[in-house]
Amino acid sequence: MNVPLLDIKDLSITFKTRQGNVPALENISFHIKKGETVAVVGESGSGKSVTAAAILRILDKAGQIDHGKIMFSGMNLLEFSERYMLNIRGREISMIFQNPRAALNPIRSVGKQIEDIIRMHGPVTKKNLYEHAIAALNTVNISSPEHRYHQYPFELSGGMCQRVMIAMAISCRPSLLIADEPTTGLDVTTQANIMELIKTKSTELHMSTLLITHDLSMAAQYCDRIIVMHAGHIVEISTTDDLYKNPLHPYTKKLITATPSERGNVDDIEFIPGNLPNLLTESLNCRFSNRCEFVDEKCVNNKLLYTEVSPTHSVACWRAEENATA
Amino acid sequence: MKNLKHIKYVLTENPITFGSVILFLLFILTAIFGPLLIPFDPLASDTENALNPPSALHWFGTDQLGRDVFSRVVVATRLDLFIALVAVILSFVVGSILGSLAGYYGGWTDRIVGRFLDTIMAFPLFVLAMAIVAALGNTIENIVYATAIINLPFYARVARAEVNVLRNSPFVEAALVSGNSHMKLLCFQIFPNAMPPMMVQLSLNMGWAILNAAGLSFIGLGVKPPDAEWGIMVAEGANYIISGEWWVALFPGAVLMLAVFCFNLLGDGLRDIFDPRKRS
Repeated sequence: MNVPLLDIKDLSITFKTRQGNVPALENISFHIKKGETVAVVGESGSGKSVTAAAILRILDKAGQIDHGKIMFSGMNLLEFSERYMLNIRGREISMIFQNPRAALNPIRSVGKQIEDIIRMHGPVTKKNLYEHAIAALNTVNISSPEHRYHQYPFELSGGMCQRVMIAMAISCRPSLLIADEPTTGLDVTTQANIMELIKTKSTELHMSTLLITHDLSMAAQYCDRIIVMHAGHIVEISTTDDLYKNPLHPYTKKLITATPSERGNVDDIEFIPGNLPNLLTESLNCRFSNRCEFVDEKCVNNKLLYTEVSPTHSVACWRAEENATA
Repeated sequence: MKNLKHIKYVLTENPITFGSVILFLLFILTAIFGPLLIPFDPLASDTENALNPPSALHWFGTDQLGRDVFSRVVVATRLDLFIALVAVILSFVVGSILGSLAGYYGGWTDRIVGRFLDTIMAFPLFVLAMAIVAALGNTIENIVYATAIINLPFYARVARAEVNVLRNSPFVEAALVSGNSHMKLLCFQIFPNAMPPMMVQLSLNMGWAILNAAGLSFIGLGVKPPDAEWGIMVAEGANYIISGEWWVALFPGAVLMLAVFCFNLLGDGLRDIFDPRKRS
């Protein structure tokens, strides 16, 4: 198992807008091993969802891939034809979204929607289809699936809808599940249930999971490794433990102190000053330099430096060495 | 089963819908079986009994040639409904396809379709219909085409607007990432969701289409005498209103009005039936 399931190499994406070009992703590289759960953490606009869209090749027309490779099981997804991608989406890589109720077709019963995806990706007879759909509902612990089968999304709770989405997403046993803020809009207890469900299912099906979230504590709770993104750059990649024990990038440090913890006092929470840079007008070597308290000439004048501190921990900061010792 | 239950619910919940559905069924039955049941031959003239007022024998009276107005009104139902229905289906199908493609793909497709529809809309629609029938020839077929063409922009616009909004909705994106092709998305995910407003348009248009067909016949284009058709009958009867023989024009006119009325009311009911969100 030397080849990682997903290996993104040096990926850059530019959005061509009427105002000019926005370099939304710049030289993104990371990998996900088989069965691994990896989180991409960052604030809104940091390029998390763009990364997911690029993996599935569903970027809208304005988004252009400048260079890079997205290797999936050893094949470059970017070289596949659109026709071939239809077999990848939903079968090899599936995705679940935030706001699950809106992500289901409002005028089709949930059972039928599960059947649609099973029919699309597998040779199943019409008779078996119903059983498959019921089985899919069962795997995500939905009570009385025969009854739910006939219900419409508006008749189900948000958590229930997300379970249905998960049932659909894993019905064809994909090897990679992308969960784009799957718990946004759900209440806290439901959030925990949904995350537990995703975790259980990925272990059961030996499925890798890419969790996209802005919630660092949730990422820490459920993921093996964490990728921290800021303004289209990956600033730090590390195993979860290492990231918390030894955060190297100033942004990661700020994120950790900005996350409320059980022990900490709410008053101790620090804000991260400033906003994401405007990528349309500002061309920065380090895109955090505007917000960073440790910034010096090296950061401003030189290209971003990726330092591999250990095989499982790398950081994009000129002052990482100093930070490590500090 | 569940669908039937839902239809029953929609009907019983709203008495106006219920009434319009009953009226609609009545029109359909009349169109199908009417010609078999009428008391008189709608084309047989009887000049001795011309312009008789309504009586037990001739319920709606007789016209200037002594033909039974009731029989003619009943027989005309089939022709008028046929023209309207075929025209509306034609414009529904073509309009949906054009509108959906324009709404989904946007860009040049949208621009070309949009300008084409604007061109149709630029004419006063009834004048355009007159011109089409006059140019192509005075046949029922051409009335159908003319009616279909002038109704086309309405469907295409509704379809375009609906599809354009729906294509960006999360469930369409979800369907895309589960491996649907663009055509499948458009046909099975987006279009069914655009159906409820389209159904309202369909029903409203049935009324317009009937009015349009009758209007063309009224001014002498389209259906030719002695065929029975509501528009012609009103046109013929109009000459006699001043001299007091009101029944010749009134009854076909009233039935025409009733038909238009019925279809307009039916729209809301159809939308409720096609929208499962109303099922609760």
